[in-house]
Amino acid sequence: MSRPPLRPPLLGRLLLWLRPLGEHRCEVEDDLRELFERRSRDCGHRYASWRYCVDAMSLWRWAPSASRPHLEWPGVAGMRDDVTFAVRMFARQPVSVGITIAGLALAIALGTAISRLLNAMALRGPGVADPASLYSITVHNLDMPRLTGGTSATSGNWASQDYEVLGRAVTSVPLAAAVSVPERVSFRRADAGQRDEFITAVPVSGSFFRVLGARTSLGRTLTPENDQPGATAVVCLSHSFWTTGLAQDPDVVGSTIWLDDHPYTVVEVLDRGFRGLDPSPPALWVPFGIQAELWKARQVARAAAAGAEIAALRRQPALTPVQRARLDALQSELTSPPPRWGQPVTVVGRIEDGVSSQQVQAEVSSIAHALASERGQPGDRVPTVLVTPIASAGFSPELRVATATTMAVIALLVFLGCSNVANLLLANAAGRRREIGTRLALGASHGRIVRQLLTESLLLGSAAGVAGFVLATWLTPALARLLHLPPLIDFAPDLRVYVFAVGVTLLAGAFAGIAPARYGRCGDLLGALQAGRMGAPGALAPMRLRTVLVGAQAAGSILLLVLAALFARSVVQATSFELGFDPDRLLTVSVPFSRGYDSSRMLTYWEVALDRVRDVPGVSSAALVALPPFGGAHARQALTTSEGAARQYVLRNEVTAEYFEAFGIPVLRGARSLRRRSESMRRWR
Amino acid sequence: MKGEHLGEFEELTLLAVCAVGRDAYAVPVQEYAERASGRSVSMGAVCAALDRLERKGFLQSSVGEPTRQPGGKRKRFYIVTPLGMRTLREVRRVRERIWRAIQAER
Repeated sequence: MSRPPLRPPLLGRLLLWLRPLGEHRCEVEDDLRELFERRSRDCGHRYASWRYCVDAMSLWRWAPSASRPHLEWPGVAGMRDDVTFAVRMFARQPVSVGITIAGLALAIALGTAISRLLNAMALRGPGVADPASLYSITVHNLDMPRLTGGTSATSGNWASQDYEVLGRAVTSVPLAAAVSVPERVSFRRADAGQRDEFITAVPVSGSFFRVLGARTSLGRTLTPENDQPGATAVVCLSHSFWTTGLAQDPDVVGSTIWLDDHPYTVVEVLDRGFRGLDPSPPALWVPFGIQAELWKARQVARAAAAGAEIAALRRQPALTPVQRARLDALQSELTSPPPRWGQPVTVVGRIEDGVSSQQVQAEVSSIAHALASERGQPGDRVPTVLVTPIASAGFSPELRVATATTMAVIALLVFLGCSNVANLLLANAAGRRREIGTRLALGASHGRIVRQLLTESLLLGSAAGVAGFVLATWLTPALARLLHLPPLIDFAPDLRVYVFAVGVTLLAGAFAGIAPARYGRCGDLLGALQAGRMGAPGALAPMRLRTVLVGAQAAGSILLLVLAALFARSVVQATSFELGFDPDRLLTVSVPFSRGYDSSRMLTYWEVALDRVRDVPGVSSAALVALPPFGGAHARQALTTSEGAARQYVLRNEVTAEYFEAFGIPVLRGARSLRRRSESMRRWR
Repeated sequence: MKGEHLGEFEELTLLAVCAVGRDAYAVPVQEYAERASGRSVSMGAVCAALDRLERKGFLQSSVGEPTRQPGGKRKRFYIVTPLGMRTLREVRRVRERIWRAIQAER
């Protein structure tokens, strides 16, 4: 029969218990007990008891240091223990923990992916320096010369010829300009045999990158000297195009690329994040001057080729209708004055300190008025110049509403994921009441219990956050493709996205852990130790909270379903919207002509194409239209009645005679008084 | 404060930590010091000396793993720092110099 363990004397234990030892208590008690047991074994119980009391009394002369030079920071050891314990506990139930992490990770991944899209499209700036000092300078009601003759009124943009005047005359601010509509150009590298692909290019002024403060990734930035007549044809690449189209070739600067069969030298690769003035960056930028020079050279070449073709046609004994139309078009082209290169451009200026936007507006307005009077614009139509900050121009009230709505949906998604995690942890805490009660009985404080439970939920949240962030790197491009977003936008995460992801993760973890931590720290030891027995006190509290969480999840899910149903309804309504024409069995074809096709070649192409399409079995009618419906483009035309009443502007389009029949648009009144097909096609752009 | 002189009992405690070597915690240090000095050494004195030596930078402590016995507690182990070793050697040199001088006079 074993002897019961010897106990230290009561006096010694009392002396020890009364002495405040703080964090040293456990180790001191343990050391004294060990010494007592050894002395009892070696020297007897009485000696051991006496020495125990002496040692306990000697501890009263010791003043333990308040902070010992530990090898680890205070609290870290405790946190490390919490994490270790949490990992061991999760390892015992891998399936449920895995499912919970997966659910929360999916919510975080969706939220992060949507935030990356939103950040790239709306929140991240255009990648310019000091966007607050950049202003957009627009003009309205100024007659702008058109490429094919005549004028049209501006509605914001300037004519490129007018920008040249502005650039020379304006002294209060440095100006820059970019063509408003990106051009499609054929692209290939100097490698022989490579197939051309079509990319977007934006002609810009030589001061464009300097005024916008764009940073350079490779090479040197464009200068006004590159924009002068006779300068070398150079091009600046966007970072997205350099990455996706040129595989981040480190030797691209100084190399030659071919745009519309003309060689250009690459001088610069712009910094990541710079996208110019449009939400979606083009593939590259070229100087105005180069485009104007090339345009002039093409005009000369076309004139020579047209002359040769006219001579060849005239030598024919008999001409087909197509050949006759071609001859008429060539002769008309040669007799008309060659148009100057001109495009609508967006003008921006950087207003420095000491200059106000009103000063700039006044200066530019006076130039606009001078241009208007030079063109004989009527006095009742006064051009209006507006100077507005670019920073506010992009984030419109509609975009704010859309952003707020999207963030609310993200918050709802993450809330659903967190509720799921909270439910799991609450069930876990309810099952651990006996463990928690035992820990409380052993002297653990409520704060210590709360810290343990919060550590577990933060660990779950962190694991879900990491998994969600990794999932978002795949989800983001997939969503961008699904939404048909421009391909060259850089969706890479920046500080804003990282902060959002970390913030959502921590919030999710903390939110999921609040309920079980608040419930688990309850100090009802008897109830905790009696947990699981029928009628045990406090057994109903976690059930109510779990019911609330399940109800919240159901409510959130129903709300999302309702939103989805409303969205689907809007889509259905949009598809059944009265279009004004019959889309049934209506097909449209567009051809991206390269620079090798001048207007007369395009005219001939379309004439031949139209005849051939009409001959296709099953085609009841075919027509040509310059601006198809819902194509995103429109043109304005000044209109005055025969009585010379006030001039107004209307939207106009150019069509062939069969347009209304082909589109199923009923004509209510009058004959279809359209121009002859050849005349309408002569004004084709 | 680091780098102060060693007191007699501090020197004894530091030597005991050195002699115990690995797994030097309060109990084996107290037993060794008591055995080596031939006098009674209380736990309070040992704890105080260990604390002072650690504050002076002669010792470094760490909390180890719990002992394998049922209900085993985590113990605080001590090792002598390089500063502590240098100080012990210096004290030993001083004592030997004085003894050589005493023997030379005689």
